[in-house]
Amino acid sequence: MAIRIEGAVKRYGPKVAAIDGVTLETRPGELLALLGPSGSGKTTLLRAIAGLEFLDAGRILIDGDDATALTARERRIGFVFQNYALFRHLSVFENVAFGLRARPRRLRLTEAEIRDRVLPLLRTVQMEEYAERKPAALSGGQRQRVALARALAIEPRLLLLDEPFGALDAKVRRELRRWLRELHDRLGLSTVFVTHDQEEALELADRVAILNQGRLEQLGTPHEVYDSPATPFVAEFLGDALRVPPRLRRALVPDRPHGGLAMVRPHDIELLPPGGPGVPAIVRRTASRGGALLVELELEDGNRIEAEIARGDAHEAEGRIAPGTRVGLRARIAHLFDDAP
Amino acid sequence: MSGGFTFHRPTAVPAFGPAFGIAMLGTGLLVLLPLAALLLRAAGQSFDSFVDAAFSPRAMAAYRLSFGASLLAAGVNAVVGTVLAWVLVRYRFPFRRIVDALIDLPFALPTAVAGVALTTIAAPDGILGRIAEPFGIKLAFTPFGVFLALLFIGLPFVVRTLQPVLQDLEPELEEAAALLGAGRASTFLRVVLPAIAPAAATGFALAFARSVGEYGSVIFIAGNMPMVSEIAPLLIVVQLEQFQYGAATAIATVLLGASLAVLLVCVVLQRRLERDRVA
Amino acid sequence: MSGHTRPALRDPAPLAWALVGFALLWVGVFLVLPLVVVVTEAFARGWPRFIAALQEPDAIAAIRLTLVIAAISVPVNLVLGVAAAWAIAKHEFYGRGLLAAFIDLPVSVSPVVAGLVFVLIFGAQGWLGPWLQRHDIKIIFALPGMVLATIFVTLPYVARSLVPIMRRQGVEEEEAAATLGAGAVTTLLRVSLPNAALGLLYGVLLTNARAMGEFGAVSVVSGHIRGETNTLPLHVEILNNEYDEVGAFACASLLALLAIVTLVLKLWLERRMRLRAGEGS
Repeated sequence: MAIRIEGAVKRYGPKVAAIDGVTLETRPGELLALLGPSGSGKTTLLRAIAGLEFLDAGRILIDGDDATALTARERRIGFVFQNYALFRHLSVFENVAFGLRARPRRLRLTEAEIRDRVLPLLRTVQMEEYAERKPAALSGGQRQRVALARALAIEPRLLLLDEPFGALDAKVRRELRRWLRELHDRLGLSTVFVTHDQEEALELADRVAILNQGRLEQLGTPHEVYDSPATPFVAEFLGDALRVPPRLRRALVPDRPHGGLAMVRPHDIELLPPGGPGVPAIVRRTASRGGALLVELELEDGNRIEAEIARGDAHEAEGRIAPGTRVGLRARIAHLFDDAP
Repeated sequence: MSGGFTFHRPTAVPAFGPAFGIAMLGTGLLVLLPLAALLLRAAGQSFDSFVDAAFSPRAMAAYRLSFGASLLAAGVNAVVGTVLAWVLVRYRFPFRRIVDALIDLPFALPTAVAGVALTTIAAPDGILGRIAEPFGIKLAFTPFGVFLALLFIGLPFVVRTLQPVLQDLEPELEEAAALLGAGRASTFLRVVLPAIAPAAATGFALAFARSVGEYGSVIFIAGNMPMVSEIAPLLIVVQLEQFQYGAATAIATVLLGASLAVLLVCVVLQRRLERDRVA
Repeated sequence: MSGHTRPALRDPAPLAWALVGFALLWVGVFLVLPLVVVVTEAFARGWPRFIAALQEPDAIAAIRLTLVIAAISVPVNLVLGVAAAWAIAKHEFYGRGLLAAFIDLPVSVSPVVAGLVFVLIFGAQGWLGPWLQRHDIKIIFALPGMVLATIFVTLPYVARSLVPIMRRQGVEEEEAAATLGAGAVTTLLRVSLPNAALGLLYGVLLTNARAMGEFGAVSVVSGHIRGETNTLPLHVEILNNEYDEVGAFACASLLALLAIVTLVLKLWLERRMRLRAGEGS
């Protein structure tokens, strides 16, 4: 199942465009992340694919057929809401069975057939023993899994998840992330999910679409978008990146000294012995950032920049980053962009 | 689906058309059309006869009583209703839920029943009447009786408008005020009151509008003396019984005009209320 | 009695006591006392007189007519109220506030005016009067007029109790139903209304109470024909005017009972609502 969005535009009011001409295509069976800051239009785009928003311009094609005019009801697309939107007065079982019971009369299933469809799904999401509970009696992670089972029950052509882990604690989030990836690999169902968390997108998705102010900035595999950002926005949004000021350019990025904008990630800044090549600086402070070590450096003009080195790195062992130490800075890798916006 | 003006914001929630159609058809045929008929009928009269009937001395006396007593009753209810809403939302005390349910009694109790009951209480030999008698105050069969009945029927409008607003009031507001050194009194006056004022005003307006038109509970207790204790709705009935359709229509038009004006105020207030609650 | 759980929101104890005392006193005098009076007066001359008053043919005819009017007007208002609430609470459109105001309008229109408008349309002097007379159709001073007036007066109550609840619940569950393939009827009957069931029930109860108790509007269009177009509230007035106090209060107590049942059911509904909200936590 592949979905193609062509020139999608959605406006709220005459001036505000939530989506401003997005074209993208998913590949069958892939797990695609729509990544962007809040207000980037990612959720609107997801809702438009599901038929929950109506585009002002553009088309949505499902397997090549124009689905723009289809209602949400007709699209057969599974949607998992950020806050799950479980039917609060129905049990877990009835929530999952809802889509089967809502079928037109001629496609209606018998009670036994419904059970045969719902129970395996509950097993898949490990919620079998909670079948008779009401949503209010479930934890966030459990509700999430019920919402997923409910969406899967209609045998959707495509699965959409809006901020699937947004409302969960960090730990549950990580567990569920891994579980979702495994489930996806098992089912092979084309899936699009929305997230504002770049780590989540990079870790989980086959490809990542990065949105900003209603426009698609870049679409690619996690490696592509991280290693070769197409725009400064992508570079900055996927982790920190330093915009290299012109006066430091020659010393910091000696192999590409001219033209456009150069950006360097903190972990691509190399610390050299003082007196040699590189931008002279003084180590002011170090701080632990999990597996990495953050080094705060003061330049000669008083400005400060950050570098990141692996913990247990040779520099640390040799005492080369103790506060007050003089160092030279040089970029191992720099990202270059034609013009600075 | 493409751009431009749409009357209804497209949504995946179905059946806007049928729902809107049924609601509009129902209110149109059952409420708006009949009310339009009244206005047309009023417009059909000569201006002079309309004015003569609508503003005759007897009618003016009736308006004075209806609007005056309603204003007074709604005013008292605005204060008492605020206290009741505050007590019901903020305190826990025995019978609280029963008291809360009782607030709706004036909605649920037929007005005629309220009328005979209040009359019995306020009559010279009634429980309240006996208390007032020695002071030379007559409660029933006087304009004061009108005020009493309107006090009864207007209360829930204020309480029910205020309760949800008080419930939604963020406790952090008052905590912040306390941390900034404000006492309870100045916190109430400067933080709580401004927040609930639009709701209180809406409740006041609703109680007022309801009171001006009230008939059932008032006519039992009022005494219904022309020029003294005759309310405007009763005057309409009196004119109708004498087959004075023109006069009845004229007075009804004035009353309807007042209702619409109050309603307009309510819509504006409500809009402010909703906006404030969103913000 | 206990103050607020957040210390900064606690009022000084004497003030709190005074406010609660005032509230109880006010409710006692203005709300409880009238109810008590109705019941005691009804039984002032003992059970037998009470029962006899209710067994009078005119009283029985009034009770029957009241039930018939309610049985017609409540379902009509249920449909209108649900449709209006669905449009107002679940959709955005130009004039949403206006429609809400129209629905609410009868609350602030005098019941007497509500009755009058139907007299002006259907009465002998009304627009359709001559035509109706020629075809021998009676609306004013007959059941249809009384039903119309009752529907007018009780129109707002279902929508009024549904709209706030439905609006607070948002549209996500309805959207979820749409993605699961549900149509309008399924969504309404299996998602929206069950979620607002308690509000809906209270709206219907209130509509019913007001329909059975309506006085002014029905009075204007009824013609007060004993045994024919007399509802229970109108009968209370007639008996009261005839100084038949026991009879008046016997009928009034029946209507008071209706109010009490309505409020008790409301208490029960609120309890259910609390229990439902508390489920799981």
